[in-house]
Amino acid sequence: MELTIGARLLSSGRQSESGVEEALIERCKRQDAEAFGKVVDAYQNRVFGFVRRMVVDQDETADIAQEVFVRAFQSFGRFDGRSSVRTWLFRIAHNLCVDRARRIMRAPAESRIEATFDDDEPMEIADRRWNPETAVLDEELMTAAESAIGTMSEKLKSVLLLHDQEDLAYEEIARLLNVPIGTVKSRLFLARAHLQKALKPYLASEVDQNV
Amino acid sequence: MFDKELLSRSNDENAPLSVGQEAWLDEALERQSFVSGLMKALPKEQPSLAWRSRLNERVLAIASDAKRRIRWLAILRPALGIGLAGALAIVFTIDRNVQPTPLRPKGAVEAGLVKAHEMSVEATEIAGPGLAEHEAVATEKGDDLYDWQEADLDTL
Repeated sequence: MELTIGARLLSSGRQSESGVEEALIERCKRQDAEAFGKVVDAYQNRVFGFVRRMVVDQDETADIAQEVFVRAFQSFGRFDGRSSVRTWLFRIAHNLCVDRARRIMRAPAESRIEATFDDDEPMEIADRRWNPETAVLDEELMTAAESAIGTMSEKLKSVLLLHDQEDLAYEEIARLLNVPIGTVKSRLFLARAHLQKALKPYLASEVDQNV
Repeated sequence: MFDKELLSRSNDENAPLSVGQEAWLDEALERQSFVSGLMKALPKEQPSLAWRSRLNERVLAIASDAKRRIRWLAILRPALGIGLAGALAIVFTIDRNVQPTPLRPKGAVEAGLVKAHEMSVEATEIAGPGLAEHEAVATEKGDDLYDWQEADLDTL
């Protein structure tokens, strides 16, 4: 079990009445290192994974992910509880990743989504590798997916990761990114379409081989 | 069909979506929901033990700095408070308008003492310290007091 009981409570978007969670947060606000360690236990993998896909470079991933938790610990006294600890941590992570991207001023060439692309036809998911229940991806497909995610802009990537990987609600993402909910949905649609388009030739050839 | 207008509007952060566009968008997102499964199936990233160890060190360093600051404040605040209170007490209790009270002799003895003191002060002002009152009186021969002979030089 990845999360401890107290940490699992922290992941809830609702304000919990649990004394355990409140006590943990209060101790973190007083810069109790042991209490904060429980928070790190709960979220280090998720934050690390999010940052890893936002910045790609391994060394920078480690530095930025550490900086997320260091800044969270330093400013925990200002955490007001309006959002969950999880959303707050992802906000810090997102801001650091965006700052890093601005410093480097890298603009990945995002392939233009052609108007002729007809997304009324759902992708054929005969290939069992698409079955999310098995949650096992072929290495080639995984590489193609990672590459497609890597070519997205930070705006689309962040929404895709926060919603589809981290299960944050539209409202949480909108508050985190300080944009309207409609913008979150639009970006998610574009991100998914980008991924779909990038993987379609790959899967089309695979499906053809399997026929 | 692909909504070109929706695409162009989605690039403008401030443009609100119409009811129709929002409905179309919700439906499109529903059709794309399998992408969510793909994203969840991607391998999970885990930081190394060295990463976690380094983070623990940094967090402990911050926590100990914070405790040190709190301890110093616990000592400094009362000391500053006491110092400030003392300074304010001095400022508000000292009477700066106090004048030296003149001597008011009571009785003959006191009058005599005061007179003698005043004459001594006057004599000092005229002739300098060290001379008695009678020595301060001027004489015809100015050099009487300075009657010395050559033999006296040998004593120097």
